[in-house]
Amino acid sequence: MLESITALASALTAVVGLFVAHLAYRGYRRNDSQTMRALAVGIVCIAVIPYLILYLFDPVLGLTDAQSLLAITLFHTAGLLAIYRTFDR
Amino acid sequence: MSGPINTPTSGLEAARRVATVDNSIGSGVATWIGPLEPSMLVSLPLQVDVEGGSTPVVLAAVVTFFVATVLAVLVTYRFVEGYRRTRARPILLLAVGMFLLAPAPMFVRLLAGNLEAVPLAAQLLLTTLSELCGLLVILYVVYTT
Repeated sequence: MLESITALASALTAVVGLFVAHLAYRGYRRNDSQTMRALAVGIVCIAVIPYLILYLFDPVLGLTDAQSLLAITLFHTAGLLAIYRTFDR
Repeated sequence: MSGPINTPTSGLEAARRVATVDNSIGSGVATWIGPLEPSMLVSLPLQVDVEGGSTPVVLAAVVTFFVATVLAVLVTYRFVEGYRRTRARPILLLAVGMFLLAPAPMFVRLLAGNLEAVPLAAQLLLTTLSELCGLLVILYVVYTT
């Protein structure tokens, strides 16, 4: 039961993440806003790619727990770095 | 085994004796290692069991997890700083959304991962719901500005 709710919430998180990233990317194209572009990249790396790793690449490629965790944390780091870099401009 | 084992003279000597002791006196060695001084224990090998993958990958995952956690806190802090400077409500909401999206789930993983009382399923649900709430707050900000 708890697993089903988590799977549903994860899928919803990925979909909402994709939608937020799409809106942010549109904001970047419209106003040439570097902050919005970084937000789009960051959201994809933090909310969308980890879902794909857990529910697509992990079962298909047969990754170990450590390999999936490393891939997810690397994308988290990349996404957060993309957002953090916009603060110094 | 040569010589009495209950009279170690140095750390090196103690390690040598442990290494050369035969199985028949294993229990004797166990009680003998107990009261060793720290300087003697330094020469004994440190063993850490790793589960879930090869040791380098697990170590790299742990290190990047901590780097990501620090970055998540820094990003949230910069949003809060931005709000305190400008008093703009959207930036405050971005700070709240970013906190729920990145540092909060990481703190939950850090705490719940070390507590037996919190089942993995509950931990996963909590982190996913936190991320979802964070995204909805960010969605509101991006949609209305």
